[in-house]
Amino acid sequence: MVDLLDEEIAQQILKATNQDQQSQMFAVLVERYQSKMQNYGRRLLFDHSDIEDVVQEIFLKAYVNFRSYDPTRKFSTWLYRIAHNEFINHGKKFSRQIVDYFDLEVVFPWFKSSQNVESDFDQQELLESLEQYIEKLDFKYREPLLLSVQEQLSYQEISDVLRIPVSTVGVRINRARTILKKQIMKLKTN
Amino acid sequence: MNNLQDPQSDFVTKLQAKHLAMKPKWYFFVRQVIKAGLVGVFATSAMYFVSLIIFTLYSSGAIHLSRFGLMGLSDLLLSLPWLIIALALVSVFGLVWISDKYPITYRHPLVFTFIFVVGVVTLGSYAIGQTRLHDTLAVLSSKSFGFSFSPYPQAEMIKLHNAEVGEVVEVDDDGFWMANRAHDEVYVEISEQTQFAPKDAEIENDDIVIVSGSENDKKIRAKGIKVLREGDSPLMMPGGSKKGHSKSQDDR
Repeated sequence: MVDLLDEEIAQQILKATNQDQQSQMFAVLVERYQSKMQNYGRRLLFDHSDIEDVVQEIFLKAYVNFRSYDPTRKFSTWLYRIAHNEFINHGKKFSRQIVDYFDLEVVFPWFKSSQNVESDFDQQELLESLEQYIEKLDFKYREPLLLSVQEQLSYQEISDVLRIPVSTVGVRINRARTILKKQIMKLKTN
Repeated sequence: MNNLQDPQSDFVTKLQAKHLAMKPKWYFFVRQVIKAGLVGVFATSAMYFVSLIIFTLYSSGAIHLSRFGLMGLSDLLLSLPWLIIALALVSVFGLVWISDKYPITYRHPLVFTFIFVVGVVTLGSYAIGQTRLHDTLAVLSSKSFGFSFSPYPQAEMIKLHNAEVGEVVEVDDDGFWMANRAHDEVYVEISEQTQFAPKDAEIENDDIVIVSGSENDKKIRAKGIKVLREGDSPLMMPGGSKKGHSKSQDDR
């Protein structure tokens, strides 16, 4: 079981007829993703007090709704979508759809893409600056950057998690990197 | 599987404690069917309402008010079927909202979804406009099935802002008498400021006309008069019938 891919385990869960077997196999996925979800939640919300309860709730929701998962697609993307919704609900943010209909980065992503990238960051430098300055980033820039840098999701996967256009993901990540870069430059000049 | 670590056993214990089970596959199937159904409902209602707006503008005669300058445009704005426009907008936004739940739409900029939805609704409402759907429904509605919320008002009930539609009954030197849609006879006074559409129009008995101007004591000082001619869309008249140009115009 340990050697199997997430999607292979998921297929076995869907084939299993016994509820005990299903929950035991799902628990393997829980173990794989528990710490990732906790890190994701901590960096996203900063409120660490009940993050473990929220993470438990994510896995319970994923388990209950498991038959909506399509095993031909990546399990992590599906799970991060549930996590995103739970963290948003927990943080009592507005639902994305109401906010995004008035967000130029979603309606016309290329309009904003001219504010371009200072991408002379290496991955390590980015991870370190993420630790220090993540709270300087607005929520809408923080989440795609976390999913990209920390969780290593592709732009299309992030688009599926956040339900925003792929080009908007690119614009937001670039913007987040630019903000981080500015913070580092400020620190260096000081 | 026996050497479970803490997160795993914790999770299994919680599941058992809460007696949670996976929802059945049919539950998600039904949700997908409802989602697809909502796409159909929003798309159909958007196309229906947009085509109804166009039908209403033409059959009430409001569309012709735009010929009479800025005042005519303002009268047209005040004569628009705003409730139907609101319903059409709700349907269009509903369609955008429900479409945006599918990867093929949310992966692309929202403006593309809007353009696509507006394109589909425009084509669909044009297609509905080519059928006799609204004419048939309007006639059925006029035969009074007692629907008080019919989107097709009786011709007698159609009101335009600062404008009146009617059939010319008698012409004299200063203007003409016409029977409006409410079966009242009103006098239309023509002055030098009165604009005609078409410009060379001559008023004769039985002409169907749209007169722009405010009514005072059964008398209208006409700012503009549109005479319906061949090729113009006919207007909704009492009895549920639609009337276009009069017979005598064929001989002109």
